[in-house]
Amino acid sequence: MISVARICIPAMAFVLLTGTVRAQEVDLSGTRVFLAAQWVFPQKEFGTFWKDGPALGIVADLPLGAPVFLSGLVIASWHGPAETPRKHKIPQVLLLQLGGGMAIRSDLSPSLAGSVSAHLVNNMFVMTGPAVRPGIENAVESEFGISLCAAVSFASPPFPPVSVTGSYQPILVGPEPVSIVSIGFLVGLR
Amino acid sequence: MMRCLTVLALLTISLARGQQGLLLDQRVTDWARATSSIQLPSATRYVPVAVARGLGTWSAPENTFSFMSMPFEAFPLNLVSADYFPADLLILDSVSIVQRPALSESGSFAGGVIEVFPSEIPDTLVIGGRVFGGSETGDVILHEYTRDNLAFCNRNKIGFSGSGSISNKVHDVGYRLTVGSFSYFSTGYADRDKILIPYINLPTFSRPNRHTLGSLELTYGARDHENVVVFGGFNAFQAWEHVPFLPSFGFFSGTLGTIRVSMERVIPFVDLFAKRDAVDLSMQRQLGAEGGSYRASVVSANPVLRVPLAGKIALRVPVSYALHSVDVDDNNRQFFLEDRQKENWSVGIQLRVESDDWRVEADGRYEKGINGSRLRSATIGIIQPSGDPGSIELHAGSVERSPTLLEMYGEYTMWRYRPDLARNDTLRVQGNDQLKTSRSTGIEIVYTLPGEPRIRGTFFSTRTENLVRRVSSGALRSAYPGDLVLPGRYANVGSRTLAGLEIETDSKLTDRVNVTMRYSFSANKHAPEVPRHQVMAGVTVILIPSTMIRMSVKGISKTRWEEFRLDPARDEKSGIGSDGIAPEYWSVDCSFVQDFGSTWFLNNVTARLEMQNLLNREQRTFPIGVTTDFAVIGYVTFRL
Repeated sequence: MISVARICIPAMAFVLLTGTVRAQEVDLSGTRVFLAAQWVFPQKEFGTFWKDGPALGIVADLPLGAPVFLSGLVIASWHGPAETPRKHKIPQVLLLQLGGGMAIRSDLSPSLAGSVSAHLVNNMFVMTGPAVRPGIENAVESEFGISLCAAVSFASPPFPPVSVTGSYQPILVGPEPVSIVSIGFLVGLR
Repeated sequence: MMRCLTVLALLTISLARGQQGLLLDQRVTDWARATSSIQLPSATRYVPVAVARGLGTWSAPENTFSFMSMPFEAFPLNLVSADYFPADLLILDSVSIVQRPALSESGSFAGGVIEVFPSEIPDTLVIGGRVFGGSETGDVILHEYTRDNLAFCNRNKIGFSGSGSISNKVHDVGYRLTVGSFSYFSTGYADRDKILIPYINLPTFSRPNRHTLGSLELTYGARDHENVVVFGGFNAFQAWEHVPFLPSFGFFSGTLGTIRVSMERVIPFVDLFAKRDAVDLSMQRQLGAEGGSYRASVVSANPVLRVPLAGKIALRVPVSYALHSVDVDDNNRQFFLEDRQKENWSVGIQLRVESDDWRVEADGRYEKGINGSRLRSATIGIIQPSGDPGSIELHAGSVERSPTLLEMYGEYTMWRYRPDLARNDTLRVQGNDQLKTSRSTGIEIVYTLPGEPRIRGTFFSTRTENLVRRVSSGALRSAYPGDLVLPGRYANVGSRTLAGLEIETDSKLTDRVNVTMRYSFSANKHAPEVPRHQVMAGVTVILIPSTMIRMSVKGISKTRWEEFRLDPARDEKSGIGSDGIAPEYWSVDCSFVQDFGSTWFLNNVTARLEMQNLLNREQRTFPIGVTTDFAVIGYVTFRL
């Protein structure tokens, strides 16, 4: 559990590394921001005891030089307890993904593009509800994962660009990692 | 300065400060992690425990930490840790790590030495600061809900530290005042470790570790000329520790400090060095262990006679006198049972001969140890710094060391309740005043190929006789399976030899990409706590001039620790015993460094995000005790 430090340190890092990099070094004007809507399917132990759930978030791309982008994401998803004998012991989980990484994009046609990306993601499992057990402090699981994502984007001005995405992320909680699979779409905000 | 150069000349590894301006390597630990001989119990606590290449002993380290060329000799209970010296507060210029028997004017280092060199005090007023925050994972919180009967013996940890300094040089007088603090505490769920619970006081155990540190450096004179340096530093601490002397954790509080003075080239023909290292340590009473305290100090004076000789020949004659004292209250039942006071003195000789192509460094030391023995030590180094066929260094040395006061007179007692027998058993660790001196004798041959990439090979072999170790004594009273709290006594355990080969390369692939690789093989039959194989590979990439990424992979083969080996027949509780083996592990670390230049009212702002042990839940460098877990550490440094 990490409480404040686990939230603040990666947040600080991503603000530092993706948001406020000195203007004279990187051109921020090309930054693209998307609203992300996804459905997240937990796998392995996480999927055994928790249900899949909806997710909302923000994804941002900062061009470093074609076709490479610096990429960051903040996505929150909600997962209730699955139907298992332990259901009454399982709290609801708010999964907050905070990730940064690189993306490579290729134009398939004037309006169609494909991209692949890899992110190092800090996953915060925030336990909520009456099943949460009292800890020394508020008990938040914080684990890193590596998210691999593919997307197909369609842009037809003046409409905002839209992408369909799918991702797989092993989450490194120890010798037996859990994982999540996400599908969804992105809508360009700027 | 001459003294520093002398010591530098002894060094096997002198790790240059990486990436000037980006401050990638700031702490002692940053340097220590890059070597093959330092084992780090905990990432967020920045604690290097030195196990020099086959020479140090985990249970009672020799002198291993040196500052201003004088060993620091007041580590609580022999815990060699940067936590217990105000060194991490210093703005370091470099840290050097010698991995063979070594001598300096005021100390002998049978197990090698970590020498810290602070940066020069600037000529202008500089006010700066550093803030660190780290988080180290422990148990998987998800398992708290999905599994039953978890032990939760490895809790999540958070550490914060910060320091500020003000420095300036007015005419020839420089000053640097530094203060800082360091807090480290556990979070998450309460500990349910069966091994700890029976004897610790849980509310106390949940208290954070705290350190408050301060130091003042004063200098007089210009570099390379007459020079006076005064350093005073303290560390007031309260901390849970698993220290080498004890077989268990203890909650300690106390203060340690040092004041040291050096005067070089002020008096004709004589340089003067003096210091006082001291520690005041107390341990709270725990469930099963009575509290105790002690005060220890080492006061030493160390004049060095410079004998003028012609040409490039330098001769120095260091003399030292030191008084080692331990002071305890009446009826003290832990650590030391009565006051102790021991003297030691030494006389040495240092000869440096230099030509255009090579140089020779020879040192000898005759010493009366604190156990009354006469110690004789000598080292020699023949160095050809460069040339077409490459540079070569040959070092040989034999260094004798006296047992420490703790090894001779230490005492620690605790009790364990054994439910099946409905009784307490007493476990005791005792010193041994009959310990003989131990001697480490070794050679080291270093060959560096000319040109790029830099490739260096090192052959090393060291034999230690009358090695001092804590050995288990009496019948083992295991309370739970895996409970390896052993009664023990310090003893000379014969001799052991460690030999091996290390190959490393450092190549600059492009202006922005640097690759480092190292492999170390140790024939560790007689020193199984040293890994047979160690491999490290790292790449540093400067993405843009202000942004740098570094990734490294490190692999360590399994190690075996005699202190924790337990014959099943002696495991009266479970009959399982323990092989005392720490399994092999691989770790992946990565760092992001961003230089922000001037931001708001701050200058030279540099942020660094580091993730250590990326792929492991935990990494254990010895069979019990603290682990290095996956850790995230953030750093910000700045100047006003």
